[in-house]
Amino acid sequence: MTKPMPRPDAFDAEDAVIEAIAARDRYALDDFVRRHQGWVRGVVFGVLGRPNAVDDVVQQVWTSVWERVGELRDPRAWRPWLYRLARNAAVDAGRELTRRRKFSRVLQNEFGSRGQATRPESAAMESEAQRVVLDAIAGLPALYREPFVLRHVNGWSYQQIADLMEMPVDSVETRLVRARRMLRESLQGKV
Amino acid sequence: MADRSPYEMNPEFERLIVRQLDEMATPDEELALNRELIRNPQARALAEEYRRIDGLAHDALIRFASAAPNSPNLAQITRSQETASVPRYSRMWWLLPSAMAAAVAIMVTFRGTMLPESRPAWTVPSQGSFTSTALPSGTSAQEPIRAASGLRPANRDLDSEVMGVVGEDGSIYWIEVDRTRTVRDPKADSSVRLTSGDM
Repeated sequence: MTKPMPRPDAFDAEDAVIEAIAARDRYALDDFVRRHQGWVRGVVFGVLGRPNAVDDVVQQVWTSVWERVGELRDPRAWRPWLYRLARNAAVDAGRELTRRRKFSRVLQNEFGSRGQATRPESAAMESEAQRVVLDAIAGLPALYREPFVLRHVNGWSYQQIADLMEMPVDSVETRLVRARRMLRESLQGKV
Repeated sequence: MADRSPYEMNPEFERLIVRQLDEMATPDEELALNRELIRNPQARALAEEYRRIDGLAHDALIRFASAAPNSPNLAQITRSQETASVPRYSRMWWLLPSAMAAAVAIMVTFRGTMLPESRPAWTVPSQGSFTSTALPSGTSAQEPIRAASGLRPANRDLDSEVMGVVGEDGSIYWIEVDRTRTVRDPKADSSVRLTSGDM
């Protein structure tokens, strides 16, 4: 089965857009969000592993972009900056969700559920197989899930992932291999 | 748990499959992998399973990432900073009245040194402006009639001096000069003459 890999997302220049956002240009922010929402969602999902909570966290990420773009001294470094914003927001959200689940069974059912018929993104899934696969990906340890999602959603090279995650390229490759192995094992007989 | 074939237990073979899936395999790696896939149907079946699952995962992730059922509310985002600033201002409500009270307190405390009525009796009685006003055109400054140096400063860092100059029209012009306090030689003349450059 051939899969259409996305065009490798070069670490393109967005200097002008970043500067426009810093100058409080809302249209520039809208433009920026449209272009990068996909991989930001991927980063958040890769770290958080909870599809239900991704949208809220992504909203927080864009709010942070608007509020903190002035802290970005070098506009050329926007991508690692945005990655860190998304990753930190996802980590914080994960902690908060874990804390809530620990102390509230009701919230556990609401936030911790997977594969429920009421979750909004289930409508966007064309096939049951994709939903099962997405759940399996969500069930991977974050250690392996994050580079796996970055690779698929963004089409980034091992080197680009390693640069963003600040780890050796060999570690990225090892994690991707293990992610595939665990995914195959968890999906055995399901798809 | 999946049944493990000998190929699944071979980390190098597994690594080559993944590198090929990620389009990161070198030509030599591609060649080695293809030779093994051609030679062994079991290896081929395993690679095909990896490829199928990876394709499903890719499609699911791309669909999820691009779905965004609840797209970001940009109006809320761009408004967040404005609304966030309101509480900050509301928490500062006491600042203005406090500053005004402090200013009044300072004026009352230092009234003896700051107001013109507190000038020593030996200075020229107040008749004109107490500000540093340039002499009117057509007049020239005469010698200072009195210079009060070493008045108690309003604070420890400043030394206030007041001078009265009589213009040709007979009006008295008061000149107030604040200088950073310096150590003076007590034997030196304490009067300070102003030149036009000082004004």
